Amino acid sequence: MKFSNIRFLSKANIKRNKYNVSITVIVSLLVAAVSLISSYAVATVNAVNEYKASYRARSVTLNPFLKILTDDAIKAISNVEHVQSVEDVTGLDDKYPYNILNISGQNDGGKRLNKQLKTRDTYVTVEGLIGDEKKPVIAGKNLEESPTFSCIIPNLFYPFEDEGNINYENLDYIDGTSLIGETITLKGDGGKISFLYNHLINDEECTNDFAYLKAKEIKLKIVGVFHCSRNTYGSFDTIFVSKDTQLQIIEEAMKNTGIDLSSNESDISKWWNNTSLHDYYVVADNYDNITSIYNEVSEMGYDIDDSGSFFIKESTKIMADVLSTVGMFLLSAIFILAVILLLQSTNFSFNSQKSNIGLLKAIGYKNKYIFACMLYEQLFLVIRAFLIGAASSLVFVTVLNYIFSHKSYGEFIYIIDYSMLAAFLGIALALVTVIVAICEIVLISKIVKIQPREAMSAV
Amino acid sequence: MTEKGISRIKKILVTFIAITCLILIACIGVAAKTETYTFKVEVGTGLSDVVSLYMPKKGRISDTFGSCPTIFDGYKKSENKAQAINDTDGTKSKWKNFVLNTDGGPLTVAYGNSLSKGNYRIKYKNIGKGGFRATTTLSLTY
Repeated sequence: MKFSNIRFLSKANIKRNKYNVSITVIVSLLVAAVSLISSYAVATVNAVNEYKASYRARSVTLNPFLKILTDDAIKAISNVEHVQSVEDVTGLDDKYPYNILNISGQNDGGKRLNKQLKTRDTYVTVEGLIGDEKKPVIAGKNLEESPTFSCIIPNLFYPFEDEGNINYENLDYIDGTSLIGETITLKGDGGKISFLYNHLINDEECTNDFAYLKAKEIKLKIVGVFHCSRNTYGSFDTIFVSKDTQLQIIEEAMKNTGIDLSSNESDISKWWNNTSLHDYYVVADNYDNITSIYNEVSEMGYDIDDSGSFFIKESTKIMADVLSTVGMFLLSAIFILAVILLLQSTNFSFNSQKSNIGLLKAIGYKNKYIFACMLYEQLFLVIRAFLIGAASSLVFVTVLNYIFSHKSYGEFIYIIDYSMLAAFLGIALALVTVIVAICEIVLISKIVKIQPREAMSAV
Repeated sequence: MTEKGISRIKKILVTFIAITCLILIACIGVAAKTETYTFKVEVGTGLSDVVSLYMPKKGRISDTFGSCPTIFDGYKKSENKAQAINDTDGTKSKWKNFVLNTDGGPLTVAYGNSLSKGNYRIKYKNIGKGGFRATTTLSLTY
């Protein structure tokens, strides 16, 4: 039997199938739900997991305000269950704002930035890595394999200070990779570097105050570029340097300001040299163990935070929870409905065509051709519905991708990769095809049992 | 003095006044702008409180607590710390420690002089002695 004959016979039945419209609607909804809910669920859940695994999300601040942090205290806290390490963050945990004075302009990216520096104000922060914190690069070299006074910048680099636009939407980011190899010259914002230092009052109570240092120009070589994401520490205006580089910058600024760190005379030098007055990060082995660490260290009488030093947007966590629970429940409900409808459609098609099947058998058609007609009928319906669902998903994602790409970088996690969407559409197609195949296979025995004379006498 | 002389003096005076006014206007135009907001902060013993604000340009955020705050649980002193939390990039400033006394005068607490623009929350946390209730004037200078 020719394919065109199968098609011809099936088409007539498709038009008569009373579940035609319902199947089209539900199956396209199923396809859209599988591709969209799954894509956004994967994007948000991955974002939350990436955040929870990040070093700074697991790092909790420990201050000497209640009790000073002697070596014994640090040792005791290090031995608390789930504590991965306790890191001295003196000179490292302040945010140091800088202005960009100049970039060497060795390549096109640097030359373009230099032009912009003439007319636009700049604002970046220079941050030192802490303990064994790693900031992997997506291009160029890591800080660990680079000399001091090297730095890494974000792939989406925005070092400018503009009026308004406090949500940082629709920024003209610079591609960080175009600046690899350049040397950037910076100076502390307002000609100063400020930080909080701890000191004792009445030899007992510990408090902190701001210190202001005369900023020197610093030159940093851009050796690599890191992935800038709202889920991990380091935004579009953050420049990372190694711990050694950061401490050297601060020490040189102190020297420039006339603070003698070896003398132990000023409160600043006493703080710098006395580790009991330092701030620390207590790094948890797992994000979920922060609360137990907080409880235990608080019981010991020390001042410790109850959350990490970096946080993800609450809306991202909520979206991840909603999509992975409610979203999956919705998906299951639509799936069950689609299965029920396809079963009903298959049964209806079979029951309404019994006499035709009998006639076809009487004139010599084999069971396999009759099965092929019925299978074609159902496949036509679901594939048509799949195409409608796929087209709707594609339009939906394209529109949302465009909208989010013009929002703040915190919303970039909602930009869906088309290859991921295609993968989920493939899964949706496989799913609906398998459902149809199973429904039709169930019918084979019924088709075989039909006797032409009985079927025709039922007419 | 002749009429011509008086007229010359008048001209000089008018010119001087005009230039002075222009300089004054220019100074006002480039002078740092300060916005202030008044909040009532209440931090229970061992607990925390949060106020939200947005910083339209990079600058300084500071709190000035009023005199004679109310301190809970019979204490005369309240040991606390506060930090500025940036909702835009998820970072937190270092904690700034401060102590309030029942008979204390106004106290200013600064969170940073060059904080980036964006949406912020100021979190106050009581770490020792009693909690407190006080009126604070939050100043944004940019």
